[in-house]
Amino acid sequence: MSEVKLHKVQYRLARQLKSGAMLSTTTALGGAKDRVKKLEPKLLAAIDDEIARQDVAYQELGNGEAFGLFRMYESANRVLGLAGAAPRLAGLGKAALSLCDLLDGQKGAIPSDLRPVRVHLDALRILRTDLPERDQLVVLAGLSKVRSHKPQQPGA
Amino acid sequence: MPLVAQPLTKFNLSQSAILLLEHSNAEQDLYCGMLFGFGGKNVHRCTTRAEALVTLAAHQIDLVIVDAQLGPDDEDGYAFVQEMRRSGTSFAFLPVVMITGHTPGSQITFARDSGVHFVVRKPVSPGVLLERILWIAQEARPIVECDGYVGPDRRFQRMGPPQGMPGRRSDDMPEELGDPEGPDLHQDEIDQLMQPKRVSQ
Repeated sequence: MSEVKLHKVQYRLARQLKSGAMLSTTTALGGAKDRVKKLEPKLLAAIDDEIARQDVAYQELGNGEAFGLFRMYESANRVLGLAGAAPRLAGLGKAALSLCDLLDGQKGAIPSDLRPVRVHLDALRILRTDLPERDQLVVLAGLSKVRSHKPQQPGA
Repeated sequence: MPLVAQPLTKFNLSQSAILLLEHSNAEQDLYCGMLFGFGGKNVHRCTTRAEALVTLAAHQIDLVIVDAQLGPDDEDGYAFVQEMRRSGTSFAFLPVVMITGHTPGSQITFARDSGVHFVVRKPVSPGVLLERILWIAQEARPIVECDGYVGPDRRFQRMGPPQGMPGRRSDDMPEELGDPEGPDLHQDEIDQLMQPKRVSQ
């Protein structure tokens, strides 16, 4: 069994956070939200770029190129991160997560039926708009159904 | 539920140098927006693992924020944290917050075992990011260094060593219960312990 060393550490960050001119957490959160709000157009443009990349990756999948699966997964992960840009994009984040789940479940193999992937890409496009929350939930419920759908086995 | 008993309600991030390792420029902008909003002034933005290691060596960094997923030509954020922890340098034990995207349970375990302090799932909200940064300020976990792991103590709760394993710490209790040290208490004595009576002063 290996030797274990325990180091007691005192982080400089901890000292710095508690000294000098302080901000209240409420002010800090307000400041962060304002800054992110100003970035929103840029971040939405980045989301659009990712959705376009996913279309290219989808075509690659259609051509039997397995690398498209990895590219689409990576891009969906980035959309998931960018969905933090605004609370109204929460649905978009969930759809991106659903696409990641779907692709991860393929374990590197190109899906025999690409329709569930297509439905996810269309959903991302819809949820990127200013869709009311109620309608976002309908789209997300649809994705959940698509994800849980198992293709029928021949002769079943 | 907050991890610390009394989270800070006021803080000052303006004196701290933060390293942000994030492959995507747009996500860098997003997290920088949050950090500047929190009053941060000194954020070193890095897009690759190699760039981040050079920055760590050249600047006195106080906090590292790293995305688990780096570019396709780079190793991932886990490898970066492991390399940092094993570096034997002044930055080896820095506090690290890891941001993860699609996160199967195995990846959370992987992140924890790479030596990060906290894992934050995407999409990251300002509230969650700030909460994790402030938790670090009140962290009291020692850094554990052994053959298989370098990082903050992974035992958040005092639950003893894993089942079937002998403890490796001086304060680990053995699994087996020893013999009682004295006679069993009578029910009256137990009742008295459970129903303390007021003592006149």
